[in-house]
Amino acid sequence: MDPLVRPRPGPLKRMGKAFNSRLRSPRLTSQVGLMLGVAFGVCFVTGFLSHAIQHPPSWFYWPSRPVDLYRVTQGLHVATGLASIPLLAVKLWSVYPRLFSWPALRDPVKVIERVSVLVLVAVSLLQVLTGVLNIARWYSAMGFFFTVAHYWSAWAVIGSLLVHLGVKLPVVRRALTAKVRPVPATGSLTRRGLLAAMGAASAAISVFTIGETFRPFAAISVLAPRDPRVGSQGVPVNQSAVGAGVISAATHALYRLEVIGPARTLRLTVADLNALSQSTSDLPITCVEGWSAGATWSGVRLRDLVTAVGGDEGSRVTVTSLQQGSRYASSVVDPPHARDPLTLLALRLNGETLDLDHGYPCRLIAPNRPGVLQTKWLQRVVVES
Amino acid sequence: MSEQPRSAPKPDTSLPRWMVWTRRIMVAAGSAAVANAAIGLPSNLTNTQDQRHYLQFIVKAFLLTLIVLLPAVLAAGRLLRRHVPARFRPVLQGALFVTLMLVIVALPALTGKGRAPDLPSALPRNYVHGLAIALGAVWSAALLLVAAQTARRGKEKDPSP
Repeated sequence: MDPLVRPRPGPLKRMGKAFNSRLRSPRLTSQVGLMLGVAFGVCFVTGFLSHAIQHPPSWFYWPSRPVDLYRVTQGLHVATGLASIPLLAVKLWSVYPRLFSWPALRDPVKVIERVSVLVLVAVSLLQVLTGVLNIARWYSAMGFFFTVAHYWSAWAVIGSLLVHLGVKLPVVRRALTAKVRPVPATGSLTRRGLLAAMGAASAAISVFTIGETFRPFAAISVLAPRDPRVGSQGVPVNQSAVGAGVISAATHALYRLEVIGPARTLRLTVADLNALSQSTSDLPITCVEGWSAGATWSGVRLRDLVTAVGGDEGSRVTVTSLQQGSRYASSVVDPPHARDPLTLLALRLNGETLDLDHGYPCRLIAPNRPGVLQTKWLQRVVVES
Repeated sequence: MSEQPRSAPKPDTSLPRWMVWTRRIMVAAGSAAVANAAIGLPSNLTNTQDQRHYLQFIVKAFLLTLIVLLPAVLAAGRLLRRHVPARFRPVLQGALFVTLMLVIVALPALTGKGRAPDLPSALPRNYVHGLAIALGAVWSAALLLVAAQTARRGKEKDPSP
């Protein structure tokens, strides 16, 4: 007898039968699977956008308007990821006994399906759990660089999801179009009740966390890792001046901002910067971890400095921080953002001189960019034609 | 006409053509995405310690969920079926599920491991209180549901005006 088509072994059969709720059905699994697929699809697209903004491929274009676009996409990324946890839980519960089904490897399609399910389950759990750990800043629980692992694992999730759905498409279609099979009353949750509980769990998670980016909910989002109202000068901070090791350099009397352009180089003191024409922009600071907070920034328009050193509307700008040894110590400002009149080298926040934690003496603030690219404690601005 | 042997696989002609092609495209695109991950992950997560921790994490998460958490949930479901009256069971099951989900989301913040003395705006809330408030809301809603069901049942039993 072919070992791959032998009957189920006894203990596995017993385990599979031990937890056999009548609620489980291809219809329930398909419904939840589709919802989870949509949620993971949203997470993948918004996550890919965030990655592409930070590491743009040659074909990628990211506009500077609308100013809140990244705030929405990244808020959606984290909120959808959190709301998908109950969906993933119900999906795993609905197929749990199938883990014990035997034979597992009847034909090549089954092999592909089984391998894709294994990858899908393992990497989905990794994505969801590391996402929760990351927004709570518990990096040590992972032990690896989250950003890289999360991005590349997302490809594995979306890929294995597509393979799984491709293999199961006839089953899903049949399950969703067939007449609904009545579930015998057992006194426990009905199918509709289970879906309602799943929806209630997703809604509860959303309500209790979304306030980190959706300010009207800030007071009731009691589990949000951030409060957009809490932080120095009323705005949260993700990297302090102490943590960045810049206090001495940022407060030194000899501090100069170097602006290097095709025509000339300027070396500006804080007083020089304050003496230049000042502008004000209402822009959000949006963290890749999903929180965001609106604020009023004042300072020098970047495009004015670009013009002053011989750049033009097509100039690309690289800003560099006083911070040493950080992968976020410099960032590139592409022409759409560099020429946007809202983009500032900010000197003030909400009417006060920038706090050290917010990037004193001078920081970049531009519309529609992740916080990690809003470089703080600027020491150099290089303008390329 | 000779009969086909019973074990020979029959060609599946029942699927519409669009579905056959949709499936092929999905499997091909999905396989390409998985291959992209299989190449991209090790070439970008280059530190061997990071790679080891990544593999350890994925195995632990997988085992913890499928060998510990899910069986525990299923066992709890069996206990409920055995010991809780049917009229309370659905609401209790739903409320317990929402509770478990909220605890999983809140757990990293509850530990406070992500707090740093120089970053008072990170994890700025009292998450024990936060979780208590969230669970209070969930169980209040559950109690209201049970009360509404009980009242409805009472009315059904006593149809007099």
